[in-house]
Order: sequence, then C-alpha cells, then structure tokens
Amino acid sequence: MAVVDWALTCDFAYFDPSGRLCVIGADANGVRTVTSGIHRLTLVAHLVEYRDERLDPVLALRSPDGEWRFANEGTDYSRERQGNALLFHWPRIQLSEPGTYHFELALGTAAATMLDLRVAVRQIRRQRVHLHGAY
Amino acid sequence: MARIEWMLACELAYFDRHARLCMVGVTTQLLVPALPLSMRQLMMVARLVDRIPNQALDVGFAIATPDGQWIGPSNEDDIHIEVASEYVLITVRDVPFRQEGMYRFGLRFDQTQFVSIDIPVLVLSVSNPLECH
Repeated sequence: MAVVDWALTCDFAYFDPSGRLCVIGADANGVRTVTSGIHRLTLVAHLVEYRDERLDPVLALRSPDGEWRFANEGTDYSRERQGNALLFHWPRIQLSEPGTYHFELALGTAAATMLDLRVAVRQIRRQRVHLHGAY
Repeated sequence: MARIEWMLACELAYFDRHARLCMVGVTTQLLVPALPLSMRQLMMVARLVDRIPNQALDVGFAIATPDGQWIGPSNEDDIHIEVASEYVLITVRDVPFRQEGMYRFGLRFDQTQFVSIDIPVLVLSVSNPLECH
C-alpha cells in the first residue's frame, strides 16, 4: 500500500513532456505564508511502496478555528500522478482566516497516511501612502 | 540535531527571489543515447529538518558506480554545494557515466548521517530508425 513519505506545498508543479516532476516556488520552512484571500497552490506528495494500486486520497483542510472541511476532487482540486509523485492542484482555495490552516492527506482506507502541511495566513496590511506635492 | 528528510535528483534547482525552492526535471532514471558520456549538469536537492539556524554543516558528496567504485569530482569546479535555510543544493558537472547500471548518489552529513538515492543509467537504443519520404 502506498505511503506518503514527504509532501510540500508550492505555487505550481507539473510533469514535463518526459514525465519528470517540476516544482515552482516550494515554501521555506515547510510553511506557506499567504495573505488572506483566494489562492492557487499545488500540493506535491511523494509516495513510497506504490505498486500501481488504486489511490483513494482523502484531503481535508482544517481552518484556524478548528473547523474541518473535506475537499472534493473535481470541484476543489484535481490530481495527477507520474511514478511516485502525486500532485493535487487547487486552482481556487479560500484561505481567509488569519492563523494556520492544516492540510491532511490520507491514502486508502486500510492504513491512512496522515501528513500535516501548514499554511499560515496573515491579514493584508494596507500601506498608507502620503502624497506631498507642490503646485 | 539536523537530519535529512529527503533527497532527489533533478536537472536544475534554484531559489526564486522569495527564497523559495524551484526544481525542474526531477528524475528517477537517466536515459542516455550512448555510453560512455559525461553529463553536463545534475543537481541534488536535500531537505534538512530540525536544523539550528546558522549552524555550520559538514557536507560531503560522492557517487558510486555500478561496480561499486566511489567517485568524486575531479576538480573543484565540478561540484558546488549550497546550503540555504533547510535545503542543500548540490550541483555536479561533467558526471562520467561509463556503464549501464545503478548509480548511487550519496550525501554524507555531519559525519554521522548518510543518505543516498539510486538512479539507474540506461542506454536508450533506437533499434529501427524511421525512414522519411
């Protein structure tokens, strides 16, 4: 049964024409820091012990106030896999509450592989601009 | 104590202007047209966890050929090791591949840890060249 041995969040990830993984903008310290709003991100999971069996991923997102929301494939995310790399594309994910969101990913139903990916949301600090002019 | 969480090989890895990691062409096998050849550039990316900020790191890198010989860079321009935040980027240039088989890329870290990945090098033979009319 496939096990996720590591995962990361990034701006975007894709497979090139020869099926090799490319990752753009992986976050430092494993924590993605974004402003409050709607974002696009990709979750990259690296599998071990994968033997072409059917993957039944269950993705859940926990908001800073502890509310769990299960993500639906097709509406919330799409996924693709090549070899041992599994990508979850989130084209529009709403991260609006300041604090830390947690992704949890489980594969299959028998022995769930849980992992925790954190997204820290900060509020937008509007910049004050003072214009000084002389006419 | 810092430890290596994962390591992989790719064509190119770099940090963008927000100091975020980008990796192009993560590879698990190398298909080459003929042997012997020297690969212009290959990069290894390793992720460190539990690292103390600004802690000095002792990093070593070597490649084992299919017949078990460990080889290193022949001159200092052939290898570049960059440690940034929790990532180690190793650039190796002019990697000599002389035979098909499994090559082991090993990263030694702080004298106590050794992590390696095995990458098969295979000759991609073109048996029947296409004729164009």
